[in-house]
This record gives sequence, structure tokens and C-alpha cells, in this order.
Amino acid sequence: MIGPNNVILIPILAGILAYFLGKVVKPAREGLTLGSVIAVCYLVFRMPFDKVISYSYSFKLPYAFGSLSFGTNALTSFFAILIALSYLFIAFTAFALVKDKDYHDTFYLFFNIVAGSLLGIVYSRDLMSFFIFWEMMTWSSYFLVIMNAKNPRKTGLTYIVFNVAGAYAMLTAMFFVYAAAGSMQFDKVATAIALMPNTKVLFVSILFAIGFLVKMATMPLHVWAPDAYTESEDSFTGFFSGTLSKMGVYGFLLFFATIVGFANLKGISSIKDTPTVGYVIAWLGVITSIFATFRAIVQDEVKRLLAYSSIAQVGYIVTAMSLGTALGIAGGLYHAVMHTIMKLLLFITVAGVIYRTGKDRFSELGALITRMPLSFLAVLFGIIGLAGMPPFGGFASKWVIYMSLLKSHNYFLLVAMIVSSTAAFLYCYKLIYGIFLGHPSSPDLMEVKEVPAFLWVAQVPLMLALMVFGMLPGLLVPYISKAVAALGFNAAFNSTNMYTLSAALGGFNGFTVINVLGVIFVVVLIWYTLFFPKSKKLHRLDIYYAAETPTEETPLHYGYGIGAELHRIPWVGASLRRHITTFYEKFAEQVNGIASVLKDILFNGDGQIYMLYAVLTLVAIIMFLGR
Amino acid sequence: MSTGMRILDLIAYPFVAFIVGMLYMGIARNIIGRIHRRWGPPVLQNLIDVFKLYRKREAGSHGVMFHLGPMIMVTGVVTCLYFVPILSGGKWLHGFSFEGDLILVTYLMVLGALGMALGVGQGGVPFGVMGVTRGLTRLIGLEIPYFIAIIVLMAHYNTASINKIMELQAGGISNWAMFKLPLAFIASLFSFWGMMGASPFDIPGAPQEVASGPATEFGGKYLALMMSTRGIFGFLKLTLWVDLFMGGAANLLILIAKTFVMFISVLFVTSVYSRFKVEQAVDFMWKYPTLIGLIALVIEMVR
Repeated sequence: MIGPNNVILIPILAGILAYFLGKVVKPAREGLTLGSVIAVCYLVFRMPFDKVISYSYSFKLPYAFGSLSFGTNALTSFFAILIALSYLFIAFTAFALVKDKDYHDTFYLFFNIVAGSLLGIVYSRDLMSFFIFWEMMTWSSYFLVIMNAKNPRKTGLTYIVFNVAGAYAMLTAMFFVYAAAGSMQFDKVATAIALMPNTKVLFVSILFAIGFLVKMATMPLHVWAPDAYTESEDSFTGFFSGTLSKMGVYGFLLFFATIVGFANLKGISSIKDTPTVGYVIAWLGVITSIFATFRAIVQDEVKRLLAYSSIAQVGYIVTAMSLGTALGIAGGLYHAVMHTIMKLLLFITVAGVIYRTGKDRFSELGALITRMPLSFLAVLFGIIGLAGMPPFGGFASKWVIYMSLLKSHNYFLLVAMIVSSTAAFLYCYKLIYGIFLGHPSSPDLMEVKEVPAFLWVAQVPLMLALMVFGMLPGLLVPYISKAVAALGFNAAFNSTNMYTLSAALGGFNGFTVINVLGVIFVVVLIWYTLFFPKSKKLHRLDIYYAAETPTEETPLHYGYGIGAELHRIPWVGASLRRHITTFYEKFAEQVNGIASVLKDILFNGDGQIYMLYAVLTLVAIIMFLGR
Repeated sequence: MSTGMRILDLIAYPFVAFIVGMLYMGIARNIIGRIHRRWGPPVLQNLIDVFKLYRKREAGSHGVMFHLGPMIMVTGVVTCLYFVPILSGGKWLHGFSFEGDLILVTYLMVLGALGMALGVGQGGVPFGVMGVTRGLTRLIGLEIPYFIAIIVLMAHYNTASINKIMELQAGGISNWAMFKLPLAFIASLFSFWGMMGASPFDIPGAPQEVASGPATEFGGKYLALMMSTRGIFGFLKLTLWVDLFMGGAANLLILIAKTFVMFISVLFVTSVYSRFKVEQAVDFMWKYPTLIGLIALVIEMVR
């Protein structure tokens, strides 16, 4: 049987092969990617879901790090399935959208390597291979970010600086752990950490947390995300925001639940029966979601709005799972799935819209509903999910998170989350109105075609998935329960069938909700179709306009006006005027200043000083060797 | 209960809400008229208006979503209504309230607004979209005290089921949540007035500034549907507050008595205060009602 280690290799090899073979036969790139997608999906789905299997490469690494080992359990399979499916949908998007671009060759190279490295992250069973694939993900996605960026230098630099800083925080922690455990294997590391002194455990946890929080774009480490999500290659952004950010979620769960253990952290220090570290991170998550939501509303660029929304939604996941309760983690996992589905759907659709219209701002779009009905429906499904409204899957996952916060008595966190959750309605409406409703901002919008057919392959299943998970909210429960059990927690849910979701304080029947909705809608529709005369079709300019007659030139699209009120709400306005980047820029300035002062003192171009350094170094070496 | 009776019961559900809601709106116009020292229109005026609109032959449509918008709105509101028990006891007029909980109801309440917002969006009147935007912005303010209040309720009764919350308030006025958790009730009251469209918080449909807000472009059968929905939605919110804070009602007479008290409170507020701007409304909601609610929450956590 082909083990997880080989599954990782398939996309990576396919990517490299596609690059070189593609030089000769161009369609080989698509062909190899398709082959790799199918192989990965097949192998990932064939792997038993909750069986614990481990494999290891027999060759020894230098410095006795041990062998690279890989394995699978329920949590791994959970994320692997997520990765495999997003890989599939994004591949189809790319087939349609990347084909005429001049970075056609490098796109497939790096895209496949990213997919392979994500699988590597979830399948690895020791810190060494985890880190290798983590870095591989960062670097290969870096090229996909700068490939099509308007401002590659700034975007790329911010992206790489933050992610590398996160990765090196992790690396530092890994060496601490290795010094104590003498091994990089997860289970051995876990035993070693259990014996470590408290301060060291805290130190290691914080360093690891930084690495994962950067990936999840939690404030104040989110600075890279809006630019990177906005400017990365359009067809890749869905994968970037939907799936890459979930690696932070996976790493966080892996580290805090299995390696350190929430119980261990709770023993060190706890607030309200939650580990202090977790509690602080939970607040970071919810603060992230509040500010990111407000910022999303005032954006004019479509992808930037989605980028901020993505930061906000991942904030919910951070909050839910960092509390370390079974239900919280279940809620985090549930929302991770839903957020992946929603963001894939929205980013893929938006990529299609940008491809067809060549415009990426709300102030330039509008009234595309008649031209792109399927995409309208896709975005409608997406925003109903994002807003967390029944009857779609987004509600189920949000419901679990709310219940977990209620059950663990974190009411203030819940109130703060509600602020962001209700404000989200505004950006959801802006998204659908700005692109599809209202009036066209320019006449050429009325001639565009529906998004390419390859995109339907992604849109339709994703829409169906949102609907099915809303209709049968219990469908995911067994899988989430198994994944949560793999992290050492007991059952989180009370529900036993797929129609209902019930946990903690309540429950709801998604099947009833969608049926009631459907029946009422059909009744009203029949009533209005059969018993009323047909409506008179109006021209778009036949509107009430305060006793004036609008012409074709009148700017009637309210697109980017949505959210203008927000600036006038005292507290929100104040928060929108401030940027964390200002802080980082000030910080960079200071560092620059100190460095230049140091440079003037230490490296002033005087040969005698350099001679002195050489002598001092020699003396130091001799002293050190002489002991 | 036999299946036939159950089906009849379910069919009666929205109609009870419609008739009571429309009558209340008529009564409202009457009482406000008296406050203004006029006679006001007959109590049945709103029902007459709606039936007149349903019989209109012509209506203009701006497209598919414009056509479907009001229908999605009524679907969302009626679905939400089915998850709010009109009567306690679980025998008559409880809809599907055992299949859902308070959080579901809270989110379903927004679904209707989404439908309307989509319709308005295709309608193409900037004033309508402005109204929707203001409504959604106002919602950021309104939902906070409301959510704090229901969190206090859910924490206090340790359940999210509306039926159970009602049950636990049985046995006399002193058991009602409005007296047991007075601060939470007061906080929720502000949200309630806002959600009912009472005057300091009625910016989305402000006729002087933005024509009529979201309803601007809708006429004939569409306006009829929207007006009926407004009646049903008003009744839904009244019933929800009676269920949550006043122990529900065992029969329709008690329900009408209790909802009427709540409704009068809305009328008094609406006829006294003038309109807030949207940012003032949000700011107000985040200050006093939220503060009251947070105090209630702290008291609940300490207990």
C-alpha cells in the first residue's frame, strides 16, 4: 500500500516534472497536475480515516536527528481530506485562469509543491519533517504571492519576513525541545515536555504559538496577510486563504493538544479553568476578528475585503480552539472546514469575475447578476455561509463555537465575537451588492460572459457542500469527534443522527429548518406566479430618484459607499484611522537608527579598529581553547 | 394531537401572527394619533391597505432578484416565526420550536432582511441601498445588548431552548425573567425598541432623508408582501420577548395582553423621541444598554 510519505511526493514530483516537461509540451503542465490531483485525492480518501499508522524513512540524517517519520491518524486525515479537495478545486480554477499568463510554467511548479508541502505538514510525525515542509510551504507560496503582485517588493518582503520570523521562533523552540528530549519524534518530545520546568514549557509554547499565529494571521502578526492575499495570483488565493491558513490551525492543535497538552499548560497557570496562554490567545483571536471585520467593510478592492474577512473568520477558529475544551476544538475544526469551503468558493468566483471583467474594485463593478447568474448564486451561498446564517453550513459551525464559549462560561469572549459576527453582515452585503447588484459602473460590464466552465467544476460542488452541511449539520460530527478523540478529548456532541446538531445548552435540526424554508418559499412562489398578473419589466433607469431623471452617466452604483457610516461611529472610526503597520514602521525606523549608530561606532572604516577586532577575536579563541 | 390537527395548527401559525400583527399596527397609528391630538385612522386601516395592495393589477419589476427579494423576506420571517413558540405548554401553536434554539431564531431573524436587501440591491435605487446599509450598520449596535441579554438568560437557565426558558419561568409573576434578571431585560428592551423600528432608532426607513429607505422601489404586490411581513415580524419579536422575559403565554388572550404591554412601551418611546443618525444610534447602543447588559452579565457570572 502507498503510505502517506509517498502521497507527499506525488505533487512535488509532479510539479518539478511539469516544469521541465512543460518546456517541451505545454499541456503537460495541466496534465501532470490533473494526474497528481487525482492520485492524491484517491490515496487520501482510501487511507483509513481514524486508524493510527506510522511510517518512517530508514535513512539517517546527520547529527542523529533520527529518521524522518510520517504517519496518519484521525486529525491528520481530517486535514488531509481538506487539502486534497482544495487542491482539486484550485487546480481546475488554474486550468482556466492561468493558461495565458506568462508565469504559466512557474505557477504549476510552485502550486504543486505547495500542495505537497501541506500534505507533508499534516503527515509528518516528527518536528524535523514538520519544519522542513513548513518552510517549503512558506517559500513556494512566496513565489505565488509575488508572481502577479502589483507591488511585489513590499508584499513579498512583508510576507516572507513575518513568516520566516514565525518559522524561526518555531525553530528556536524546536532546539530547546530537542535538547531536552534528544529526539524530534512527537511522542518523545511530548514526554520530554511533560518533565520540563514550567518556565521553559511556557517559553517553548509561546515560541511555537508565534509560528502558528503568524500563519493564521492573528493580530498583531497579521500585517502580511491583507497584501499577500490580495496580490497573490487570483486562482491561488482561495488555496492560500482557505487552506494554507488552516495549517496554522493544524499546527496549533497538534502542538497545544497533543505535544504540550492543555492540561499541562493549565497546571502551570490558568484563568477561569483555561490555560493562561490559551486565554490570552483566545482574546487575541477575537480582537483580530473585530478589527479585521471593520476593516473589511471599508475596503474597495474585492480581494482585500475577502482577505480581511478571512483574517476575521480564522480569528473565530483561534478563539474557539485555544480554550482547550472538547467542544471548542470541535467548533474550531467545524469552522475550519466551513471556512475552507466558503473561501474557496468566494475566491474562485471572484477570480473568475476579475478574469472576465479585468476589474477588481467595487467602484468599477456592478450589475453582473444578469451576465453571471451562476457566479451570483455562488457568491450568495458564500455570503450566507460567511454571515453564519441558516440554512447553510456556516451557521452550524458558528453555532458550535458559540455553544463552546457558553459552555465554558467565557461570556465576554462571546459578546466580543458577536460584535464581529454582526458587523460581518455589512461586508457580506457589500460583496454581493458591489459586484452583482445595483448598476454597472461602466457599459462594457454588460457584455461580459459567465466565468469559464472549468470554474463550475469547483463552484457547483462547493455550493452543494455548503448546502448539504447546512441541511445535515450532523454529517460531519462523527469525523470531528474522531479527530477530537485523536487529540485526547472526550465526545463533544450529544447528537446521534445527521439531521441534528446538539451540544451543551441546546441543539437544532438543520433538516427541519431547510425544509420549512423550502416549503414556505415554494408556496409563496406558486402563489405569486399563479395568482398575480405578470410584473412589468422596468428599465434600470426607471427608478425613483428624488424627482430627477437619472441618465446613463449618472453614477448610481453605491458600491464602495457601503461602510462609509462606519468612519463616523466614534470608536470604530478611531480604530480604522490607526494601522498597526505604523507601529512596525516606527519600530523599523528605530532599529535602523540604532543599527546606523552601531555601524558608525563599530565599522567606521578605520583599519586600526578592524585590526583590534581581529586581535581581540584571536585572544578570545586562545582563552577559550586554553581552558 | 392528530396529524390533521397538527397540520391545521401549523397553517394557522402565520395567519395568527399576520392578523394580530396588522391589528397592532392599526392600533399603533390610532394611539400615536391620540398622542398628537388627532383621531387617527380606523384600527383596521393597515389590513385594508394590505388587501388593497394585494388586489393591485400592476407592479414594476427590475429583475429576478427584485422579484424574489420580497418572497425570500417573507420566507425568512415566517420560517423564523415557526421556531418561536406562540403559546407555551407545547400542545398548540408551538410550531417547530422544539427543533431549534434561541441562537437559531436570532440568526433566522436576519434572513428576511437579507432577502429584502438583495431585492433592493437589484432595484437600483441608491436610496434603498443606503437604507439597507444604514439598517445593517444599526444592527451592529442593536445586536450587542440583545445578545448580552440572551447570553445572561441562557447562562441563568442553563439552556438555549426557548421552550425550556419559558417552562422555567412558570409559577407566578415573580418568576418572570424580567423581574429575576431586571438589568438584562432593560438592556434587551433598548434592542427591542430598535428592532421594532421605534423612533430614535428608525434611520433605515427614514422618509425625509432617503425616500422610504429599502421599500422605495417596491409597489403593488411586492409592497403588499413587505407590509404583511412587517406585521408578522412585529408579532414575532413581541412574542419572542414575551416568551423570553414574561414567561410565555398559555393561551392567545394572555399572549395578547402581554404583548400589548410590550407594544405600548414601543409606542411611547417612538412618539416621544426624535431620530438618531445611524452612528449616534450605534454609539448609544454601545454605551448605556451595553453597560447595563454587561453589569447583568457580571452579576450572573458572580452568582
